[in-house]
Order: sequence, then structure tokens, then C-alpha cells
Amino acid sequence: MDVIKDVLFDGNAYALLGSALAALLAGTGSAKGVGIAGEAAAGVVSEDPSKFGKTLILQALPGTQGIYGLLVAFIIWNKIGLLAGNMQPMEVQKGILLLAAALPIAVVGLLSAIAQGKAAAAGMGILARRPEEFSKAVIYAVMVETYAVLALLASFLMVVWL
Amino acid sequence: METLFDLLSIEKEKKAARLLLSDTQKTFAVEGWVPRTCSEDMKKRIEEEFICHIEIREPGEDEQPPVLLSNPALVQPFEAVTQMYSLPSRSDIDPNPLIAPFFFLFFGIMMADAVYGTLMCIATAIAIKKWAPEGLSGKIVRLIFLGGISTIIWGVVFGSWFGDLPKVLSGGQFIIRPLWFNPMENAVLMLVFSLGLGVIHILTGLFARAAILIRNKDYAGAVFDVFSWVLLLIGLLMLIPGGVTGQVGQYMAIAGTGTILLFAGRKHKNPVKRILSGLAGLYSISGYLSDILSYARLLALGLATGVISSIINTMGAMFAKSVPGVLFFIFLLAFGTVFNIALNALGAFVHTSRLQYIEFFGKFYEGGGRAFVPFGGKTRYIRMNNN
Repeated sequence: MDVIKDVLFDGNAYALLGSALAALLAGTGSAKGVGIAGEAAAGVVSEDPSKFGKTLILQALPGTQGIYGLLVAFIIWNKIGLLAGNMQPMEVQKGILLLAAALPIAVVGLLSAIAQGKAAAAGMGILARRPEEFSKAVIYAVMVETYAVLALLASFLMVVWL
Repeated sequence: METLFDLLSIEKEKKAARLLLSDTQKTFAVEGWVPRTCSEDMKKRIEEEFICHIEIREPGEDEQPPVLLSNPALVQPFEAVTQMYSLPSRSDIDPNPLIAPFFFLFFGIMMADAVYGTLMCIATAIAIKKWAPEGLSGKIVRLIFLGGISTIIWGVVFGSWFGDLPKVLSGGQFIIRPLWFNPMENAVLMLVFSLGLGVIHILTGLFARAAILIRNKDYAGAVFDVFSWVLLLIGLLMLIPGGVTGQVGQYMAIAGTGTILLFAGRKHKNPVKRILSGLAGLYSISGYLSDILSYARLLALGLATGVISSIINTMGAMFAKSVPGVLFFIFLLAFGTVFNIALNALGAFVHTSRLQYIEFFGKFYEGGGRAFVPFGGKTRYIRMNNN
């Protein structure tokens, strides 16, 4: 009973939960997005292997959300002293605030990476039929990423200011 | 084999060109585009060799001549950015001289690490020396070289050398001070700085639009559709510091708003319709707001580079307590650095391009021109000397 009490009434548990969600959900989204784009990329390369480099660029685009999630997780660990190895007991309220701060990049990262993966997969069609218009396919995918960038900013600023 | 390939490509090109000619058994006529700077020279050289009649004329009003970009050597790499979007049409100006300084600036801010920049410069310099890439890929390699220089500059300004490696290795004893400030510690200042650069970028785009309108003698368009927005945007910004500046800014913003409201719908005769369409015009303020906020990515991508390198450093420092640990640390650092540079250079490149395409080109640039493709000498393996 005491163990549960120790964990539940220590803010660190909530802060860690937040950082875990940021890395976990955004990472899942990126894995899925990169996977979706990769499936389409394999189709393009089976027709024309010389396009491998360009498919790789397009495939890498939905990968950034996972990094943004890790980035937010990292600054939360930095904030609670996990990195320096001197984690102090923390008020529950503050921990929950840090958990809230992690939510934008966690949720937006998950969904935007999948959406971006679909846009990148559709862009593979441009690469297959009109390779000279490749950069337009990249821009379509980058349009989606804007919202992940905004969510990253929201999460980052909240963690820094808390 | 390679020589043969090139020889056959040249023959193929000649055959393809024949199809475009109108010829009889003894004569033929050729029509084509030539850059103005070499048209006289071409006429002289052909007339020396053959019996023929050559006529040179300017493009007609309704013709769309192909585009050959001509810029100073330092701006040329940035042509890749325009080329990947769309070449200028006849009604556009060449945007490359405007893109060059902003692309240079933004790319460096998103990477911002003195050591990473040096590595990028070395890698691209070797690539240029070894393969002498030409065309679009040559421009992109040179673009990354210039981006590397900008990355070094901003790395020094923000005090980032391998991220925070000097600090981590020395246990906080030795810190290379930033020339200006550390964005990781003062994120808000960095955000304001990013958005401020965005405002300058957008205003530059608006001025370019005004210049095009004035060139086309559409003075009303320049005043009512462009300068009214410049007045409104600068006025709103001057509200932030407050005081006398804020007062002046307030009047500027009101004057700008009034101009847009009254004149944005000036093509309508009906006054009600005119005001309604003025209101609709005023609604584009939301577009300007989202455009400016979009420059927050300068902060976000800069942070991504910095935080990933500090993750690598922190992880490495945990192991670097014994000899095998140090070796592992060096391995981790090398692997992580290559990974971080590759990932963030790609990110910086596509996001800087996006800022040009959406936020900047949206203000003044249409594109849609087709490239000038000179006849002859398209080889893959062999390079021919001039003359």
C-alpha cells in the first residue's frame, strides 16, 4: 500500500508518464508513417531502382515526429533531474502539469506522422510518373509537418516555462 | 561502352531535332530560341561557315520564351530552390537574388552548430572536388556547402560546438560562451527572433510584389493591395513596444485597415459590394498571422539539432568512464553525428524551401516558365570542353 502511495503522490511519476507518452505516441506515429511511405516507395523502386535515393528522402519525412517526441521527453527528464541523477520528490500538481505539457506532441505527433506518411506515399506516385516534379511531393508532405512543429513548440514552451 | 552511349545519345538528339525542322530536298528552315547575350555571336559564326539567311527578333507579346537564369556565382546554387518549384514566367522577376540571403540565413539557424557546419563544408568540398557535379545536383551540393558556412556562423552565435559536448566532457567546467545567446536556455527570445525574421521575409516578398506591379504600371494595385498591408503589418508591430512608437503604429494600422476596407474591392461599382469585398480582403490578416507563426519552425528545428546532439553527448558521457567506455563513446559520437547531420540537414533543407515556396513566393511569385534547353552536347559520361 505504501509503495502505491509513494508512487501516486510523487509528481515524478506523472512527469515520467508524460515523457513516456511523448516518446511513445509520437514514435508510434512516426514508425507507422515511415512504414506507409516505405510500402509505396518499394513499389516505385521495383519499377526504377535509380529512384531509391529520392524515395528515401520522401520516406524519411514522417520520421521527425518521433524525434520531436523524444526531444520533449528529454527536456522533461532534464527538468525533473533524471539525467543528472538527482531526482528530487516533486509535488503531484507539478507532475501533472508536466504530463499535460507533454500531451500536444504526443497526440499531434501520433496523428500527424500517420497523415504525413499517407501524403508521402501519395507523393511516391508523383515520383513514379513525373520525377521532375519530385520537390512538389516533398512540399505536400511538409505541409502536414507544420502542425507537428506547432505541437512541439507548445509542449516545449510549456515544459520550459513550468 | 560509356563513350558509345554518349555518342549514340548525341546522334539520337540530332535525329530528334530533324523532326522539328521544315525541310525540302535542298533547303531547310530552323526556328529556335537563343539567349540575347549570344545571339549576335551565333549569327556571325554560322554565317562564316554556311550559306544561309539568319533573322533575329525579340519575342512577341503573346509568346512565352524559355527561361535561362543568369546570376552571380554566389547566387547560382540557390537557383536549385527555384528550379525545384517552378521557373519564372514572363510576368515574374527572377526570385533567386531575393531567396539567396534568406535561404542562407534560415538553413544555418535550423542547423546551428559550428562543428557540424565544418563537417558539412568538408564533405561537400570533397564531393565537389572529386565528382565535379553539374546541373541541379551540382547546385544542391554547393547549396549545402554554403549552408554549412551559415551553420558554422550560427553555431558560434548560439554557442553550439557538437551541441554541448565541451560542457558534458569537462563536467560543466569548460563552456564555450555563445556570441549572442543560447536558444536552449532562452527559448522565448529565440521564438521572437524567429518570428521577427519571418516578418522581414514576408515584407520583402510584399515589396517584390509592389515592384512587379509598378513595373507593369499598376500603381493603384501597388498602393492599395500592397502598401496598405505593409502599413498595417508594420503598424501592428509598432504597437508591441508601446509609447510614442505604439501611438504612431496605431495610426498606421488604422490607415492601412481603412485603405484595405475602402479599396480592396475597388473593381465593384456598387458601394455595398465594394465594402463587403473590402471586408473579405481584410480577412487575409489571418493568412499573414499564420504565415508569421510558421517561422516558429526556425526555433523548433534548431532545438531538434541541439537536443539530439545533447542526447548523444549525455548517453556517451555515461559510458566514458573506462577505456572501452571511451572507445564506445567515440563510436557513438561518430555514428550519432552522421545521423544527426543527415537527418537535420534534410529537415533544414525541406523546411527552408517550404518557407520560400509557401510564405515567400505566395506574396509575389507565380512561376510556370519552361527551361531553356540548348541543342547538343547532352552526355552522361564525357564532358566536352567549350569550343
